Amino acid sequence: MAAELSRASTAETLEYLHHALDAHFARLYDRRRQLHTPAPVFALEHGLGGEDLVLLQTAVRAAHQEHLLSQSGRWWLPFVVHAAEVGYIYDGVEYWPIYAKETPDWIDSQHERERVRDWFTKFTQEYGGAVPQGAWAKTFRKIAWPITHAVLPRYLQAQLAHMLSDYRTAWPGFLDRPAELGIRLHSWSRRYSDRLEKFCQNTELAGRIAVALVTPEDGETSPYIEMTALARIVESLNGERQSRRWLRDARHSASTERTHNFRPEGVAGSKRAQEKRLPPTDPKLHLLRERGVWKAYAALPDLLPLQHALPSIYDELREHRAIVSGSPQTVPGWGLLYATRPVELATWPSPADPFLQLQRASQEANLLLAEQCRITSGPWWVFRCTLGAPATEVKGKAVRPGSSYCIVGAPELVPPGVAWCQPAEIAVEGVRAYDLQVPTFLSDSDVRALVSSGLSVISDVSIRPVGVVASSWDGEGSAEWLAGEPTLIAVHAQRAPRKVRLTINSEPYQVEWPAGETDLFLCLDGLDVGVHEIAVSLGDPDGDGRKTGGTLLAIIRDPQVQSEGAAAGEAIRLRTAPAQPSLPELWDGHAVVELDGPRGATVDLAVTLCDGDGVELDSPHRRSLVLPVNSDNWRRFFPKLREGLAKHYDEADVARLEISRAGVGFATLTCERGFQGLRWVLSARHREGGYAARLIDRTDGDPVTVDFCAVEHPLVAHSCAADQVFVNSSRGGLLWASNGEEVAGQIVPPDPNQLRRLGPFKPSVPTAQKSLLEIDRLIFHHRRWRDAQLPAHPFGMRERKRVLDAITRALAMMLTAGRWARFEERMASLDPEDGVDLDMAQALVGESQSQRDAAESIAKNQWRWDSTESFIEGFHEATRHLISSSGMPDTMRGARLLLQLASSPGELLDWDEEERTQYQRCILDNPVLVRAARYAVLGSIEEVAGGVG
Amino acid sequence: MNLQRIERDEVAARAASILRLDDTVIDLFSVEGICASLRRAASFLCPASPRQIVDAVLDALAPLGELEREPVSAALDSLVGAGDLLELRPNEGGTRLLYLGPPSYVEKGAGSFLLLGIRPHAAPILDEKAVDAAVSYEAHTRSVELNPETAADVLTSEGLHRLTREQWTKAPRATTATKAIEEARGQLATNGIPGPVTGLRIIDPAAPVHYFKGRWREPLASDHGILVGRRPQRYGAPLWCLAELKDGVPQAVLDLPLDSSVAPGWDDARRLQAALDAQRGFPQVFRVRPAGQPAGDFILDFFAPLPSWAERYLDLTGLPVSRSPRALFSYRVRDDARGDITRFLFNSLWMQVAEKV
Repeated sequence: MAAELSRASTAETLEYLHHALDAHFARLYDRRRQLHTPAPVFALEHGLGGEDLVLLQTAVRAAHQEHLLSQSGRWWLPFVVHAAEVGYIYDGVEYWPIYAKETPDWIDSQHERERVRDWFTKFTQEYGGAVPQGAWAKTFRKIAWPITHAVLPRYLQAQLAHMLSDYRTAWPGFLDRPAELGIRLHSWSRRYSDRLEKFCQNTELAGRIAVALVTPEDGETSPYIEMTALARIVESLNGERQSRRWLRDARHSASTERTHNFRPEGVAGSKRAQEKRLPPTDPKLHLLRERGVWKAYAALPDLLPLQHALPSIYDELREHRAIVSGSPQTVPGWGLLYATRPVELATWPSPADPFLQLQRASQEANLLLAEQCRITSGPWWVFRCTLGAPATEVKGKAVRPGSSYCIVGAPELVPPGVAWCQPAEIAVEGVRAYDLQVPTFLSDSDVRALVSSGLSVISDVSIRPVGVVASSWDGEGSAEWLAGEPTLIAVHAQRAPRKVRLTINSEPYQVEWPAGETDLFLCLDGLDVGVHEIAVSLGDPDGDGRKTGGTLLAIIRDPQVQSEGAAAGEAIRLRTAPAQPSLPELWDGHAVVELDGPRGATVDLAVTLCDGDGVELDSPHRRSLVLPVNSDNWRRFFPKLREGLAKHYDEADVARLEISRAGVGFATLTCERGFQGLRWVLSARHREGGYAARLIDRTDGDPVTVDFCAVEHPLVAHSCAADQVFVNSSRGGLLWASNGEEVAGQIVPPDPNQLRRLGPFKPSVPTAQKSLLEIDRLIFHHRRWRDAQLPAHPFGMRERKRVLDAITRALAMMLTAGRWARFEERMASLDPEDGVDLDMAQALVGESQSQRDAAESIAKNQWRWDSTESFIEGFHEATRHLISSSGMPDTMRGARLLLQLASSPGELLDWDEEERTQYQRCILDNPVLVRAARYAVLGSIEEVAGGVG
Repeated sequence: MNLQRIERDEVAARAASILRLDDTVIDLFSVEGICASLRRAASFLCPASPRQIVDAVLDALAPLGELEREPVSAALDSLVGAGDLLELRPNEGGTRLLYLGPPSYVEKGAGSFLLLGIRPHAAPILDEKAVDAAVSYEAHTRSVELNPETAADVLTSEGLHRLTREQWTKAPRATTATKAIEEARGQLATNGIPGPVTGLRIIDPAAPVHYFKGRWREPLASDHGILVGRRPQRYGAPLWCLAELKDGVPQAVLDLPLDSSVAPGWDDARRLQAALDAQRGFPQVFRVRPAGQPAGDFILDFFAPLPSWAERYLDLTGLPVSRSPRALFSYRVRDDARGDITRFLFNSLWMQVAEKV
C-alpha cells in the first residue's frame, strides 16, 4: 500500500486508507456480530503492517499541518487508528501531551479533544466498536476512548500477564465465559496496581483480552482480538524475560484446561452449577478452653471474593469499621482485608441477624454481607475437640463415636439425655455449653437421644481429604482446597459395601466400590471455585432398613496472592490503615503502618521513592525499628523519616517500603500516587523563589474551578484560572480544584525567604454567632485543609498545622465563649515553646462540683493516655456524667465526637450527618463538654490527641 | 469436572505430585515426603502449635498406611532447626507458636544453594520451570544448582532473600562450659520464676550421653542443682526450661530461650545440656567413620540433638543421610571438611569424637 501511495497527496492517502480500513473493520464487525455473545471491535485491530502504519501516521500528521481536518472529515478512520496507536504507547500518566507530541501540528483544546472522542463514538456506531466502561471511563470521558481502543496499552501488558500467571489455577474454568472472567480479573487486580485496577473496571473487555492472550490457536484468529493486534502485544511481552515467563505459564494453564475439559455443553452454565460456585465467605467459629472455661472466637473470612458480586465492596471494606455480632469491639477497616486475629465473642450471635456489618457503608454492601457472611443455624453448634488445638466447628452438626465435642446452644435447650454429656462453663452470654465424650460404641438409645436433640451421628462412613493436607478441614464434613489442585478424597466404610451411589452437586456419578475393601479413593479434577456437595450413599449394607451415607462439602478457593508480610503465618506481618494506602495518604499521615513480629526484635526499614516508570529517584532511606510497631509508634516515627524523603517526594509516583530481618521475615508495601482525575504538580521556582503549581486535568469532564485560600485568611477563597500555572503568594496556602465530581487539594508551602521579611502573623478565622450551621462551616473548612495533599517542604506542613489549629481554636471559642474563649485567645499568642497553663485550663473547665470532678479526673489520668483508644476511654470515664446529662444518646460515642471536635473537627464529616447533628445540638447547650474536651486535648501528647479517627 | 476412582498407590503418587515431588524418586512416607507434607500443612495452619501441624499430616496420610507420630515430630523439629519454620511467641503473649520462615537461600558452594523458608498457601518456594533447574530434596533440606554467575539475580527474581553463611549459622560466642553454665545460673537467679513446677520432665544428668531418648525422666529426690527440662503448657508443645532442683523439688524455673525472641527454646537447652555434660566430665560425642563410596567421604553420627545453628552448620558443610544404627541422625561430609567440623563442635558445644559408642 505504501508504495502505491508514494506520490499521492495527503487527502488522497487519507481517502484511500479510510476505504481500506472501512472494508477491514466492516468485515471484523460482521465476524464479531456472529459470535454467540457479540464482541466489540477495537481501533487497534486495523491490521496495518509496519510501513502502512507509518504511512497512516504520516498522513494524519500532514493533515494537521495542512489544515485538512475540516475537509477530510469524511476520511476519519485513519484519525481513529492514530489516536488508538497513541493509546497503545500511553504511559498511564497523561494522554494528551503524548498525543500532541505524536501529532505535532495538533492544537490542544477542548474542541479538539471532543473531536477525537466523537471519531470514536462514530466508530462504535458504525463498526460495533468497544465502549469504555467502569467508573474510570465515567471520570475520564475522553481519554477513555483511545485507551480502550488500544486493547492493552504497553504499560499494562506485563502487569496483566503477571496477574494471569499468579492466578493461573483459578481462571481456566472461565475461558468460555469471558464476562465472568473479567469480573474476577477486576477483583484480583486490587493486589497489583491502581492502573491495572482501573483498566479491569471494564470487566467485559478485560475478560476478552485475557482469553485472547492465553488461548493462542495455531493458524486461527482469536474470536475476540485480531491476529496482528494480538501478535504485537505478545511480541512486546516476549521482549522481556519475566513477562515472557508469565505469559508462558498462563498459556500453559489455558492449554491444559482445553485438553482436559470434557464438560458437556450447558452443564457449566446450569443454574444449579452456578449456585454452587458462590465463593464461601462465612466466618469460622472455634472455642478455646482457658482455665476450664470455654471462650468463643470467630475467625473473620477473606471477603475479597464478594467483589465478584459487588465490585465496590472493596472500597467499603477498606474504609469502614465493621461491627461483629456478639463482639463489643469494632474491627478497623483494614481488619477485613488483612489476616487479623480472631474476634472474641462476648454474646452468642443470632443466626437471624447479620454477622458482619460495616458502619456507615452502603445498604447494598451490608445486604451482601448479611447474605454471604453468616454463621450456621442452630439449635446446636457443635465443636470438635482436639488435644492442644482450638475446638473447631463441625458445620454438619454431626458427632462421631470415640470423639470429644463441645456443643453450644440456647439456655432453654435440653441437652441430649446421655450420661456422657456434661455441662461445661462458657464465657459467652446467651448460650450454655456441654462437653460430649462420645463413647466408641453407641447404643440405639444413645443415638435416639442425640438425634432427638437435633444432632446427627456418623458411625459407618467417613469422607475426608487424603494424601495431602487440605487448606482447611474441620475434621468432619467440610474441607477446602486451592483451585487447580486435584481433590483427593477417601471414603471409608465400616464394612465393605456392595454398592455405592455418589452424587456431586446432586448429579449422579457411576463408581464401583473395590471388592472386599473398606476404603474408596477418588480424585476430582477441575472443580470450579465455590462450594460442592459430595454425597455418598451405601444403601442398606446391614439389611436392617438403616441407610448409610455421608456428605462432604468441598470448598474450592482462588489461589491466594499476597505481598510479603501479609499472611497471618509469616513471622513479620505488615498491615496498614486504611488497607493499601496511596502515597499521599501515607505521606500526609492519613494512613498508618503497623508491624507485628517477635517482640523486641530489630528490623530494618528501607523506603525508596520511584517515578512512574519504577526508576528509583534516590537511594533507599534506611531506619531500624523495634517490633512491634503499632499505629501510635508509627505516627511518632514517620515524621522523622519524611524529612529524609522530602527532596524527591513531589516528583515521586511510588513509594516502596521494605521491612526485613534476615532469617526471620520480610514485608513489603507499595504505595502509589494513584490515577487521579485531578492532580496538582508542585515545583520550586529556584530563580524567582517560592513555588509554582500546575493542575493536571485528566477528567475531560465538566469545567474545573480552582480556589486559593491564603494561610493568613484560610476560609477566604479566591478564584484562579485552572489552565494556568499558579504561582504562590509569599505565605502559601491551599489550592482546591474541583469539577463537581473530582477534587484535588494541595498545600502550597510558603517562600522561606519572604517569610522572614514578612514577620510573624496569625491565621485569621472569624466566626459568626454560634449555630449548627456555623459549626458545619468550620468543620467543612477544617476538612479541606486537612485533606489537601502536603508538599515535601516541611514549612508546608507547619503552615497547615497552624491553620488547622486556628480553625479548631476558633470553633472552641465560638462554642464556649466567656473565660475559656479568652484563655484560648491568650494561648494563640503564646510561643509554642511556652506550653499551656494546664492548671488554669483545669480551673476553667467548670465551677459546679460535677464539672470540677470531671476536670480533676482528666488531670489525674491524662498521663496514662498513651494511645488513641485509651484516650477516648479515659476521657469517657472522666466525663461520662456530664455527657449523659447533656442528652447525648451514647456516652462513648459522645466522648469520641467531643475529642474529634476538640482536636480535628474535620473528622466529623465522616459521621452520619443526622447523628452528628443530634450530638452537636447537645454541645450547643452544654459548652462545658467542649471545655473538658479541649482541656483533655491540650494536656495530651500530640500523637494521641491530634485527631482521634 | 473429571472424577476418577484410584488405588491407594495412585493416591500417594498424586499427592507427591501435588507436593511437587518426583513420585518415582521420593516416597510420600520418606523423610523428604513427610517434610514436604509438613511444609504444606504449615503453609495453611501457621501460626500453629507443632501438634496441630503434625496432626494434620498424620490425618492426611493415615488412610494410606501406617505412620508413627515420632518421625513426623522429628521431621518438624528438623524444619524448625533449618529455618523453614520459626518458633516465636505471639505479641499478645501466650504459647510460643510456629511461624513460616521467609523464603531465603544460602550459598553452600559455588552454584549450589540451600533453599529455606515456606511461602503461605502452599505456594512453591521456587518456580522450577522459570529457573530451569530442579529442586533437590535430601532429608529435611532442599537445594538447587544454578549457574553461579546468574544465580543471585535468578533467585532474587523468584522472591528469595539472600542469607550469608554467617547470618544463617550464627553460633553463640565461644566460651567454656563452666562459663556458659554460670551465665545461665545468673539469669535463673535474676529472671527465674520461683516456686514448684508441675509436670516437669528433666534430662537425667547421670544417664549416658549417647542415648538421648533414654535420658528423659521425672525429677527424683536425688536431683540437685541446675538441670535442663521441659514443662507442659496448654495449647502448645512443652516449654524448654532451666530448672533449679533441691532434693528433686523444683525451686525455680526459667523458660528458654534466654535472650532471643527469634530462636527456638531448644537452642539454649541443648547447648546448656552439652555444657552440663562437659562439666560433669562426660562431654557429648559424635562418631566418625568412612562412608565407602565415593572414597574420601565420612559419615558423622550424632547421638543427641544439636542446637539449630549447629545443625545449619552441618547442613552447609555436609549432607543429611539416613541415620546409622543407634545414631539419632547422620551427615555425610567430605574429608577436607572433617577437621573444621570437629573444631566447630568442640569450640561451640565441647563435643568430642568417640571411637566407640
